[in-house]
Amino acid sequence: MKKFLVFMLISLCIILPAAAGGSSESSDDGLHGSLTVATNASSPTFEAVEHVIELFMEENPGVEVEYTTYGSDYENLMKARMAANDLPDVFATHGWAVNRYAEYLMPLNDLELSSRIAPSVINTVTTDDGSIVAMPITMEQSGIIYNKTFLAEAGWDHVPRTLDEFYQCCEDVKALGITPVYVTGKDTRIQANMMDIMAVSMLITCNEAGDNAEALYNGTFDWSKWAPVSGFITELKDRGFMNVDATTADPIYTQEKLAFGEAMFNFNNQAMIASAWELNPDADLSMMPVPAFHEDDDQIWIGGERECYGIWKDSPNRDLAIALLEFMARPENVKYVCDMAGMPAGFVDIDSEQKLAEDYAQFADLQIYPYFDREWLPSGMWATMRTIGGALTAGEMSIEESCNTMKDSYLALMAQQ
Amino acid sequence: MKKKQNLGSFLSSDPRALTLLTLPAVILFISFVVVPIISGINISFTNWNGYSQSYSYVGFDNYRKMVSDPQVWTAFRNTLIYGFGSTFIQTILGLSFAMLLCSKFFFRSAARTVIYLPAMVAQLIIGYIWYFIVTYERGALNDILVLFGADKVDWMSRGMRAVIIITIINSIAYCGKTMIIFIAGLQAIPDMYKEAASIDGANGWQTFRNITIPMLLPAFTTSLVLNIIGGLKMFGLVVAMTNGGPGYASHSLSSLINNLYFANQQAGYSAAVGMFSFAFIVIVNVLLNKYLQKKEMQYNG
Repeated sequence: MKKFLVFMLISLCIILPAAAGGSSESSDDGLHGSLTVATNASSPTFEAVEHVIELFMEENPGVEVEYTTYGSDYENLMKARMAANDLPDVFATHGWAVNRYAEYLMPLNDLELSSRIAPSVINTVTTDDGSIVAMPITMEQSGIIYNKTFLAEAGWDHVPRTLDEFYQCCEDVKALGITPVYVTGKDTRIQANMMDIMAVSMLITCNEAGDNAEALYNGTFDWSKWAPVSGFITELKDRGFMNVDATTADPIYTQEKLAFGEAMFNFNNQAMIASAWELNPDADLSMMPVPAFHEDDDQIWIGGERECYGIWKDSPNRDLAIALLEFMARPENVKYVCDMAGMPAGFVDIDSEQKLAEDYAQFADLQIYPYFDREWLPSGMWATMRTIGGALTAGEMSIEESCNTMKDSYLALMAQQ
Repeated sequence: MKKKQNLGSFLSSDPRALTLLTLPAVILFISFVVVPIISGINISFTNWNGYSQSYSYVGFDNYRKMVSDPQVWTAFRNTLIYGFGSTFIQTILGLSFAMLLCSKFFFRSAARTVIYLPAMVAQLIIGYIWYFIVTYERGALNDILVLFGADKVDWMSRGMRAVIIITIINSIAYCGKTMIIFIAGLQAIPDMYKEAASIDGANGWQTFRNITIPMLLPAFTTSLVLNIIGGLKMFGLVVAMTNGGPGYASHSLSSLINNLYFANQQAGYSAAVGMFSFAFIVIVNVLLNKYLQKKEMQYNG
């Protein structure tokens, strides 16, 4: 018995320090240790970043980096890990660097890379006290994905400029026998995204917006004003502009619907165009700005950080994590990821080759605004938007009920802050 | 060798020392059942978002909110349908299969295996397989409809229809478990009762009604309790087939709790709904057990 206990104790003494691992020392002969890096990225962004990390390990043979994607489970897993205060050394912040993750992130202001972050995106990774908490490799400049061939076939020589034009264009495309707006409602992210984009145009940037933004910040917003945003979903549904299975289709179909010309519009970011091109490089797809709410309003872009990494402030491997971020931020590496992912760079002076550059250039004078929920709503409203988006598409909820649901959820989440 | 004897004599010296042997089970029970329940009760009185290091207490707010929340009541109604609906169908299917497969025929073992097989597969996997059968685009069911010249149907697009389809799928997939319980029950019925009945001139239905059913009551108790708990805890099928949609129309309490906690970031509220669900399942089971025990006593005692 005694012998057995002694044996067990000795084994533990040997195994534990070995299993704990992750110790980072920077000695004279280079970096040593191991790092865990987590993201929610999917192909092709994931492969691009993975390649850059492999280059980092080649340059530093003493370093082992474990790079994993949690895919669509990312947010849930990260919430559980935040609750336990046990996070990966480096992790992706997917648009929530400030509103959700800031409490757990290390400020990067002292690093050289922070001075090269693009001005159009730096605000989305900077907290109120001026700390830059994450590093955006790519950024997003999104509106609505559309098929250029169908636009021409429907008799349009320009993309719809206003909401009325957008509906008219849907009508013309429908007459050609093509699904105007492809919605995959089994995962209600798509409807939430549609409202998230349209809400900026309808509540913030239109001329009638008044003090909506201020009211949303301080909790006095009149939620009956949300009606046109919900109305956008019901209008598309009622006029037959959505696919028949809009409430039940799985998002796995989006890629091929866009690639093989079975849908005109889709509300996703550039990454979806890039993955459609993987299936069919000739798909005539592009991105148009969000239509203006009224005739005298401006079109807008929606954007912010995309593939963006921060360092856990309590990471035992901070030096190593900083070295990795600095390596990833080198211009040639940023350019590589941007080219592969088909996304604009989050850093200045990156000369990446964008297939859509010409189309974007036409709208160079339009302003880029953040997603509605990331800037004007408390963290957690995304799920409410998913719920009402799904219910509105299915006809299970009226516009008025959806406004009330938004209001209740908003007040509950504001109270948490 | 000597030590072993010491341990043996220690255990035999005092019968109470034997209770020490339950220690591992007690520790596991406390850490994985008691502690989570207590912390769940605690969280249900807070406005915690599920990940932050800080939160504040809000009293009974979460419970008050639950009363007027249509999401919770829809999920509760669905849970009842999932629980009792699947139990009803599963019992009929399971008993029929058990009766059929107790009689001797050539493919009996193979047939039992085929019927039991889906019960070994996780709910999520069953859900994804069925999703591709009932889905609108290229779904197997719609392909068959098209073959016969009918129009395609978006099966899961209406709340109540989705709930009923999920209930039926759950019953078909897991009736194998019920069948196994009933087969065991049927094999335990001594042949002499049936022989006596046939001598008395009872027909098939009378034998079934007056001998088989009463003798199967213990099997009924086991299968009802297991199926009702299983149905009330329905999660994987809902997530895989509709994700609670359209809107929130097909959520069960479990999938709603999951959605409120992780997606909605209302861990406090989610915990309150969880407590409600827990209390409900306990009450249903206590009542059910009492009722069935009484029935068994009536027939056997």
